[in-house]
Amino acid sequence: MNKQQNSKDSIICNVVLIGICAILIAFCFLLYPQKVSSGPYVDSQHGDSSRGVNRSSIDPKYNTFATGNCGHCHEVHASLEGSEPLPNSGVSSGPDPAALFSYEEVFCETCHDGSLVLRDIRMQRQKTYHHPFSEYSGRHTLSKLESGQNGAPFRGSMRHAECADCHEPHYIGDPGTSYHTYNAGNPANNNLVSNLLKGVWGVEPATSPLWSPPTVFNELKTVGVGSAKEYQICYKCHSYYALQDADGVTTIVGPSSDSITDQAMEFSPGNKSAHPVQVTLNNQIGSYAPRSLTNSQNGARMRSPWTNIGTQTMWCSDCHGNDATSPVGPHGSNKKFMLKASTARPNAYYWPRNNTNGLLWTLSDIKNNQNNWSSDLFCVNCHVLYSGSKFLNNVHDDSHHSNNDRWPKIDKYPNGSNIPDTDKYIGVPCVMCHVTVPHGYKRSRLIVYGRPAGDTQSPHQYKNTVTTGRDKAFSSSYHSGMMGVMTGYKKHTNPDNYDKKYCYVPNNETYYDKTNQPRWGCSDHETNDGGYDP
Amino acid sequence: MDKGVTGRKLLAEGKTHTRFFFPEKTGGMLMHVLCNLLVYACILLHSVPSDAKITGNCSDCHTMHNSQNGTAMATYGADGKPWKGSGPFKFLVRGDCLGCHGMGRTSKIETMGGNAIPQVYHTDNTGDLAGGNFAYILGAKGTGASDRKGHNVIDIGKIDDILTDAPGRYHDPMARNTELTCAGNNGCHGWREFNNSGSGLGSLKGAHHQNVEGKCDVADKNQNSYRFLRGVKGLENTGSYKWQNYNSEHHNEYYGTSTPMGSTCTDCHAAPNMYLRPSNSSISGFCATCHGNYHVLTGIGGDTSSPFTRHPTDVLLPASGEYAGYTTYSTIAPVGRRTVPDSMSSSVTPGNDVVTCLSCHAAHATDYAHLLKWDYRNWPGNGLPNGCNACHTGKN
Repeated sequence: MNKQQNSKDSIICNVVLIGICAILIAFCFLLYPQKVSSGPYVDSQHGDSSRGVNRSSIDPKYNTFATGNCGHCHEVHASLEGSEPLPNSGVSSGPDPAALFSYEEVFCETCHDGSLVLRDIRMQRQKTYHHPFSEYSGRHTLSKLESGQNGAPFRGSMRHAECADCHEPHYIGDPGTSYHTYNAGNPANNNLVSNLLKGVWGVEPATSPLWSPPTVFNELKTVGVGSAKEYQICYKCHSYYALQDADGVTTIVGPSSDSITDQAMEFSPGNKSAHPVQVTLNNQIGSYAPRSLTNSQNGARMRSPWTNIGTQTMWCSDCHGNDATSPVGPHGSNKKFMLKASTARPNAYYWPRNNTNGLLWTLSDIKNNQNNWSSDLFCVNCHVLYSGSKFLNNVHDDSHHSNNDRWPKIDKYPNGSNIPDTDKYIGVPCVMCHVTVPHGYKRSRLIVYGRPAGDTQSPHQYKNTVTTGRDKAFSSSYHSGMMGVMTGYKKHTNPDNYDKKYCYVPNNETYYDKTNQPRWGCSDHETNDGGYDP
Repeated sequence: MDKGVTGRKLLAEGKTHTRFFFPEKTGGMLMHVLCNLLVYACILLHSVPSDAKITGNCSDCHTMHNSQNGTAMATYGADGKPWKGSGPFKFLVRGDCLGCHGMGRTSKIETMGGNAIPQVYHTDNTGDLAGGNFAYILGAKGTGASDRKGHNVIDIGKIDDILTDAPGRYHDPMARNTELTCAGNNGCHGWREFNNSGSGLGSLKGAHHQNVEGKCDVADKNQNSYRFLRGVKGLENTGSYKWQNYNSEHHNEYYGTSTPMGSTCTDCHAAPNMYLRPSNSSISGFCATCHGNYHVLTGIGGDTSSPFTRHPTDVLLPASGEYAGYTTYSTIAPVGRRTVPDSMSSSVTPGNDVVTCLSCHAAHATDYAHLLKWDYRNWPGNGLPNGCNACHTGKN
């Protein structure tokens, strides 16, 4: 009997305990209902509950909508309390795609015009050189719809660049106080997307050819993730994915009056040289040792923070962006190619011509400290070219190159008249030896060949079209303005130990120009030592 | 009367009301005969036995003279509310629609004469029925009165001061804020052609006593249409949580299509007399008979593919991207089915199921602006789930 009673008591006790637990649990749920405090949108700049989107200053009907609410951008029925909310006039009235209150750049600029949001993006497209986010209407659909079509939405008559092609408004993050904080802890990851580019889909080349466009791409379009690296976003348009051009030089003339080229071809790891946008210099598989720049006996060759030479990467927008300090990003600029100056050198925008007299930059400018090279030459934002009265490689330091020799080294125009010194440059123009588009190239150290003719077309090889002053000899002579001179180059392991055989510029090599006239060369570089970059 | 005792059984047993209410001592012969005829008529009308149909004492719902011991009998409804009148009402009922369905007490389902009566005006704190609760409009429940919270049928005694016409209406005239009612030409339920005063009771003929419950896949009469919304198909939740979207296992199943209605006359109007009904029998098409521009193809962008200019309804939930993540039925943002199922399902199949108006909105009223099923306006600041994210799983 006692045993049965004990068992019964035990059951009752358990039931009571369970009941008490259930009540307590229910109490907890009442006190602490399910909360959602984190997610890709609510963590974004637009979705932030205190700093996010808010249309109430445009239409007071939105005063009762929480900051960050979908309704500030999307009008689900294009109607609120019986009428279409503001803004609803001007460029777009009535329902718009994606149930937005307006569409394309007009939508974004409603806030990003310096009034509601301090950074004035609208002003950027009014600058001379800008991404064409206002030039075309009706070409952009939705970002999620533009993937999976092998680039067709960005090609030909559909070519466009709207805000949403580079930014994902649902996931865009806080720009922070510093645009690009150098990743000193892991410089190889310096090219990861910024907060401003979170969640944007992009493309990664599947191959790394030597100076030809990669033609196969992997789309990076996982919702909420998108691209990992900045260049993957840029490559949607700036590669074969959209351009479908076999040689990487299109017939599309960009805002800076040059042909648009294939950046995936230029930055390909299979090239012999490249800026480390896609991979670090040590991973530039097409390059032979030394892959990275080696320091000169005269000093370090890179400025801080870019001192992790060989192991660092960079953004496209480290070189291209606004000519003002804000807003950041390659929206628009009044500087050609949207080249961007650094904080330390706020005027270093200019390449390949200087801003003082419009001439091409030369080694003489640096040697003789003229034309404001140290403040205006674009390359000096990151590269130390000259230190302690010395160049940081002996090729540049050579007196023929950097002092008073006249270039080009020819005496007569095709018509037989003498070329006066005033029609020539003093010192070697940089673009005689180096590729004009310094993204990357098929030869080491961005060296461009001028011969055989047609080896490299413009804009990679500089084509001089200025027919007056010191440009006249180059433009009016025998190469139709093409300024490359070399036939052969090979990289030295020590930048201070180049001898003349590393550069092959034969004087007597057969070159057929259109008038079959003598070609130019240099007697110092006539020895064919072999082993040159092909 | 016992629950479940039908009129036919009464006839078979020879028992009628008259034995109880008209003892031979007090009644005249003529009155006796008339009353018997009336009872037989009631029995004949209510002759199909089913749990779905209103059964039981006629006097539970009807009153012949609206008088009993000198007191009015047509007094159903919530105390203190304008629909709790004193009658008389058409069809000898003891209250208008809200008389039975708006008792204003603490239960969302009332019982009367053995019949369960779903309530659309109540203060039950355990929740509401799937259609919603007009109490939110008047502030009897929830966070405060607001015309934004529901369809202000004139029966509740408060017309909408914000909207005078149906937003998104395709053409005028539509039922205005001074005309919107429960049923009939200016309402939603029943045959939307008869123009009845009050709640449009006459448009509901045949509905209560011949109700087909559960699977409504014919929808050519009031009684076999989903929730008496004539022309609308669907599966009514008739189980343990009747009338409720209780959880992913127990809920109504809304009928939808993969293409919205067009915008021709016959998409909304049908013979005879151009009465209103959705040509595609979907719940969203039904809403479109008043809010047409929000639904028809031209109103959402011209086709069933992104980008849309308005949020689509009667369009497939895509089977890709963020939408592929919606696989468990959400009562906050329910989907529609393209065939009326035999039973409720807790699964959602992107690529097969569709988005409907009721994916976001309730029909009568909720505690949230625009009859939405969740607190949309205060998201994300309120830290609560956003119903949008049931489908837009990547935007939370």
